[in-house]
Amino acid sequence: MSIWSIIRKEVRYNLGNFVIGLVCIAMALGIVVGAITLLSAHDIKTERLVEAKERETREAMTKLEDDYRLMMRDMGHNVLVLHEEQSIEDLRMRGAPDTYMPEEYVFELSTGGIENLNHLFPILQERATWPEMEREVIFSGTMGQVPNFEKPQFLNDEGRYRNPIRETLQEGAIEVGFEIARVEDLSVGDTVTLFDEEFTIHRVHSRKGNEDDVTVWASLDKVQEWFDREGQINGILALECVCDFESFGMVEEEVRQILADTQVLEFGTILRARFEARARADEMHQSAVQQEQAYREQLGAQRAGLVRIMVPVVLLGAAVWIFFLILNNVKERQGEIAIMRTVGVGQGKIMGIFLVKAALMGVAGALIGYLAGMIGGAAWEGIPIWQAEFGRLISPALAGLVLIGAPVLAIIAGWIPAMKAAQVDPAVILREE
Amino acid sequence: MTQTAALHVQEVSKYYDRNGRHITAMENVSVEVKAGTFMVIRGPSGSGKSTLLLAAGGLLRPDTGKVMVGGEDLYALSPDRRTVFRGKNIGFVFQQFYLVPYLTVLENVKMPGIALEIQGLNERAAELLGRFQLSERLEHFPSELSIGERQRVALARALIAKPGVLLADEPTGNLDVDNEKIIVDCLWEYAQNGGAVLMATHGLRTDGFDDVVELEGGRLKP
Ligand SMILES: Nc1ncnc2c1ncn2[C@@H]1O[C@H](COP(=O)(O)OP(=O)(O)OP(=O)(O)O)[C@@H](O)[C@H]1O
Ligand SMILES: [Mg+2]
Repeated sequence: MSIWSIIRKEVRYNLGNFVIGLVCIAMALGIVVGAITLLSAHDIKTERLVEAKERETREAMTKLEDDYRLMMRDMGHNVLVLHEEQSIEDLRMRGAPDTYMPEEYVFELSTGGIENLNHLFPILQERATWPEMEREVIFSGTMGQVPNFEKPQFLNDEGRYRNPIRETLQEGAIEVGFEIARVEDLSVGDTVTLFDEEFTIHRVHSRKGNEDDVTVWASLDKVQEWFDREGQINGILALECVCDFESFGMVEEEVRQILADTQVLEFGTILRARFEARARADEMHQSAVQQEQAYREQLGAQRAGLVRIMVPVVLLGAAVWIFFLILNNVKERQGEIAIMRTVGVGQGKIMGIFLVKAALMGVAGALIGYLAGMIGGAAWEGIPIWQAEFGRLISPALAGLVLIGAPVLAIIAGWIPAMKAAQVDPAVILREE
Repeated sequence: MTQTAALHVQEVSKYYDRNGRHITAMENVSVEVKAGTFMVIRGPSGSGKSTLLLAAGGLLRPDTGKVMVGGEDLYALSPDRRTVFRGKNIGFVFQQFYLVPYLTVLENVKMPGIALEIQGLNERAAELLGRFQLSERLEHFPSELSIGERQRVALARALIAKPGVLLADEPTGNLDVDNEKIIVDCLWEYAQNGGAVLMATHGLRTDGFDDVVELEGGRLKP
């Protein structure tokens, strides 16, 4: 006959008393573990949401890039390569460059291994009067796109662009700017005379609000012929400069390594707009992510605050409950204690009986409470037990703390009642009849 | 069981002060119970019988006087040593049996074994219960026994450690005549085997006992 079997048998006999204590501890620890699990589940969930948001943002950014690429195509050229001696002032005054380069330059550039410019167009621009219309316009001769042989992904089997950004003008076709078309009442398909030659209006450009509105586009050789500039150009347009605004200097450097006597003019406003729009979009999405994160953090902090108050209250409640439960148990078993003391059982052993019982309640309650709290807390945050993420919630530290802490708490709560048990005076109990 | 194991209560007094009232539970009481004898204390309710037995058993420290058991001054021992000493040398039986409800008859008798090293505990418990005609009831719980049977279980428990002194506080107070006889016979048997019995009673026929002392108002009647 050992103390253990006495405890075991008493527990079985007074099962209700034990179960109430156990349930009380299980409930308290269930709440505590549940709350803590809820908090870490909250963090995991936050991580998950923020990741999703970031992915969304990345996708949106990619889509935006694409949109911009198309927008750039409609907006015009990004970069203009000019002869080194071309005065920018003159260019602005005249609306067209007046320093010339050999046409070969464009080929040198396209085969020179340039990284940052995708679509190259040789141009010859002249400001002159349209004799038949008696109107001053800008003639812009282009030859269509010159392949950048560094970018084979854009080329088809014949070494031509797969999706040319600008179609080569057909023989006998011209394009006109919005303002010219408006004043002269021209529309697509009309026939006009230009330098004694008949041309069909292939396209009327939409209103741009710049020189384009007063520009006539014709094939390069035509413009060269009209202005006696055979084999010459005065600019190379590069569409879809892949650089960003900040590293623009690098583009010029790269171009000048191939064509030493050139300069590069940026279409700053467009480039900057693109850069800034992109930055803003980025910012917007960033702030969306941050907002989400901030909201989750605030919610988390609120919950953590609640847990900080709740945990001690719940634990204290459980301790008080255990205290009275054991105290009551001691009262009910006074006769038993008295007779044990009489037959030689020491005070230490009597105290031990009640403390071990309290500790057993603690361990059993902790096990049940821990499991219930884990499952409940995680489920509350939408992480059911069968999800892999549930594994991340299992904290050996918390489990250890609970499984050790609960019996310790129960022992502390049961200490005074157990002491009262040890102090039961057999003389007082046994004298009664 | 040693022939020298006997009880000597020497000029013991116990007083209580309750609500300003001075109560004399026992005053200058001396009794001596030799090994192998059966002494009875008689007295009306409130005369101090229980007080004397508790003091004699080391459960109630008297205000004056000494209690010697087997040559040991009980109240000179530390509480812990007195507890162990009591377990080994003094057996108790009460009017209420104080059986542990969740232990079987056999377990109740063996219960002192959680505190003391008792040689051949199982056999001795079974033997005692056999002697008290309880062999068939070893696995029963106290609630399943008759009142007389319960008191016999309590007596077996009191005797399990082979104490030199047995203190019985109205052990037959709840029993009918037949059961009373069984218990008294058992106590006699114990005394005849060298034990010292001190039994308190207020109604029992007292003829045939070795010694009968009378208490009244906490004092021995001359
Ligand atoms: N703890 C106590 N406080 C106050 N008075 C007490 C206490 N214990 C005993 N007494 C008093 O001491 C006296 C003797 O009591 P005791 O219990 O020894 O009597 P008793 O002879 O055993 O009576 P009964 O036959 O009814 O059992 C009684 O008057 C009782 O009230
Ligand atoms: Mg009494």
